[in-house]
Amino acid sequence: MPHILVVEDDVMTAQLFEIILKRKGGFEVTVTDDGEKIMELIKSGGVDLVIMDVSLPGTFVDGVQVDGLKLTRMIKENETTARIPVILATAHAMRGDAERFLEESKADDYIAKPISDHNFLIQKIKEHLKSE
Amino acid sequence: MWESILTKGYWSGEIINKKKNGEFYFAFLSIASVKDELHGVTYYLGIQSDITEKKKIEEQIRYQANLLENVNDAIIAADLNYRITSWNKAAERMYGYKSEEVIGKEISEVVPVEFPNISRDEVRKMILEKGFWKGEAIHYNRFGEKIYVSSSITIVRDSQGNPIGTVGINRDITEQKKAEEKLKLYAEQLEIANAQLQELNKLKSEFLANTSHELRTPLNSIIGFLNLIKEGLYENQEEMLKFVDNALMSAKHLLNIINDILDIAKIEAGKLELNIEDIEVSELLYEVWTLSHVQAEQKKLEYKFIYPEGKVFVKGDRNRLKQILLNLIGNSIKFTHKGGITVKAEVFEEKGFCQFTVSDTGIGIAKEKQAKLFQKFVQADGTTTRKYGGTGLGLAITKGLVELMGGIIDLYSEGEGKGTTVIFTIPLSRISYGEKFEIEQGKIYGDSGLLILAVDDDARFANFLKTFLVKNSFRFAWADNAEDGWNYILKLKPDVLIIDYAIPYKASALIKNGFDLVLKVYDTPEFQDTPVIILTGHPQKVRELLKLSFINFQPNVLEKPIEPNYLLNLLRQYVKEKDEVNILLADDDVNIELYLRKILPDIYKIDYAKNGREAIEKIKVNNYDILLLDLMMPEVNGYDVIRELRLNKLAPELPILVITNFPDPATDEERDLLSKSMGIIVLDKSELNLDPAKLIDLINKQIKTKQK
Repeated sequence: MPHILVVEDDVMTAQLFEIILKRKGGFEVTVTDDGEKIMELIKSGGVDLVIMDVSLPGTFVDGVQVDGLKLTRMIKENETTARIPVILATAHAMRGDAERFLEESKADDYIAKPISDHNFLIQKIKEHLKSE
Repeated sequence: MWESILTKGYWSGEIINKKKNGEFYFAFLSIASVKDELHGVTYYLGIQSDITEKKKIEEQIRYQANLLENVNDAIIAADLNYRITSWNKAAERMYGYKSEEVIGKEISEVVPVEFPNISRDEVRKMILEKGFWKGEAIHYNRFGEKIYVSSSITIVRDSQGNPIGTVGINRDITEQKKAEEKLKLYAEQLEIANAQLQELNKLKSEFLANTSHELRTPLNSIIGFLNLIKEGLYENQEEMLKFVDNALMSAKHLLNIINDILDIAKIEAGKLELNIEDIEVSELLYEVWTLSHVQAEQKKLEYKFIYPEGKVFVKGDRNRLKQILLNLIGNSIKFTHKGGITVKAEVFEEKGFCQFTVSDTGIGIAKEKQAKLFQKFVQADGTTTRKYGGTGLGLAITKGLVELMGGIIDLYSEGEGKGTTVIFTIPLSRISYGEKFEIEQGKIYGDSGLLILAVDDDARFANFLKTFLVKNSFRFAWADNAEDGWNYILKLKPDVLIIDYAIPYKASALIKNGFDLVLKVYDTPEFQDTPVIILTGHPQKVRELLKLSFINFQPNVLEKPIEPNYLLNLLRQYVKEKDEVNILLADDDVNIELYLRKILPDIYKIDYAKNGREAIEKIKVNNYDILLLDLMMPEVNGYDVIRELRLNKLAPELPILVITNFPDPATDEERDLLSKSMGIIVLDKSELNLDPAKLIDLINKQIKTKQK
């Protein structure tokens, strides 16, 4: 069973992701916005894909506040973790945001909130898992 | 000619002679009688030389001299010791010294100079070495005024090429310099305005982005949980209901955000109408406490309310006042993690407002971010990863609401981690004290005197002004809001304005507070000279606004409460100012007129007569408040004028101030003419230069004596 890490600070959205991914996608799911825990999980090799929020005001790594873009970059710039697919899931959905975020973070994909079609989300995840 | 020859035996002179061909020529002719002992005059000897060429050269020299005299550039020639040898008319005008005053003096004694990045000695060295110097400099005239000049100094040589002196041509470029400076100022202002616009534009984009983000987040939960229910992805009835609850909660949050956006849009568009009533402050605070204390307790914060003593009423919109307080308290709770929050209401009766304070021991705000916080779309943490959410509209809405009700709002914080205090004011309601005032808007009280218009929402203060000013020979009118104030200014054309700063206004009002009104007045040519006194409980605020606005006037800013006599003195000053003082100056020295125009304030209108005869003619026709009289004048001198005015009773009452270089009369008759019994004061001209204030003082004294 693929293991999906959801990085999300909004309690309700986090809950929502967990239910959708577990019950609809049949994935193993971990939801957190704790920076140290995120890095530890990623490095352990036990994560197959990351759903990453962008605004993460309460997330710190080594005492430095990081947002989803920085976290993704850290994953992508480390050779041992670079191959883990990262999908940005954010409510920042103004024109140009997707391109800018992808460019800045080197993430693999982007999905705008609100996510109105859950099947579309599951499909996207499955595609990225396959191509890995 | 013959008389001279007969009596003296000779004559010489220039004549115009006629050649045989009819051409005229200039000749120098000497005729002498030749006589012998016996026969007396025997014959006359005439020697004639043609001087036509010489005449031409003379004419040319005169023409050139005339040119030098009439150009607009000051042309100053000097010898090798820089002693002035020639000083043209333009120099007289530019520096205020007559040629005869300066010839023979060292230039530096007469004209103080500042050169940019170079000293006078260095300039002189360059002139000697290179033969010339060219550049811009600052000169000072007789009155110590700065003149910007473009200056070019050249060495003058004799026919053998030996230097014999220098000539300097100085062009007055002060106006040009001032225009340049003005232009520079405008450019700077434009740059600032442009930067502000760009900043505003950036803030709008940020606002849109933030608003979009804030709307999408709750929408995600609403759609998400409803989808879960639709797809049957719940384990039991209980979980389904929880999903419904989650969707509802998010929907409510969304509604709050939308309300905020609508509020700010309405305030912006002037569409937010308030329901103003008298509100009892303690009651209001208690209501706010019941709505907010649970939140504070949940965060384990100390939550303290300090109520005003007794019953206090303010004029405001009850729901909006609650909104303001809840917003500020909500912020405090959000940004405070330990310690507490204090909410306080204090009455400042003399200033006419109740002051509310919400202070906390929270995260505080860096000083540089404080000023911007009340602008809409701005949050202290403006990054995309804001920790505390919100739309960035709360404080902008709060500020808009407070100002609509006629208050001001300010935020203080010693910096990050040091807590925050927000203070706002709301006008007190006087009616609720049971006071009744017999004052009507737009009605003129009093029969005579300057008309004072007060624009102030405080009826009690207006009523006091009415009684006080009418008693002191003023007329008084009142408006309780800025827009009506403007209408009364148009209709009544008051002489002096007393304007409050924070005044309640209708949402649709174009002229909102007192400051808007002041700007409007200064923007309207017909009224821009009307003296304005800004009388406010918030003088700091007003001074800041004055500093920020691009206007170059200084209205009087006075703090409430005002000492009535201070206000009275200020107003009396305007009474004097309104009356012009018409001066007739009789002096053959034009420089005195120029000098007086410079040192006397604008209300002193100067008419000028260049001699005694002109002065007498002018006095026959015009009405003057005072005559400033020189004694030594051609044709009809000062003593003659005094004789005509006093002894011949042309103007026995006209105050006369004699200004003269020769204050000591030569004869007894002159002494009598200058005596105090003639109502004449004598001032030495040298004193005039030393102490201009003395002249103003003397003029005022002379006029006052007359009025008595």
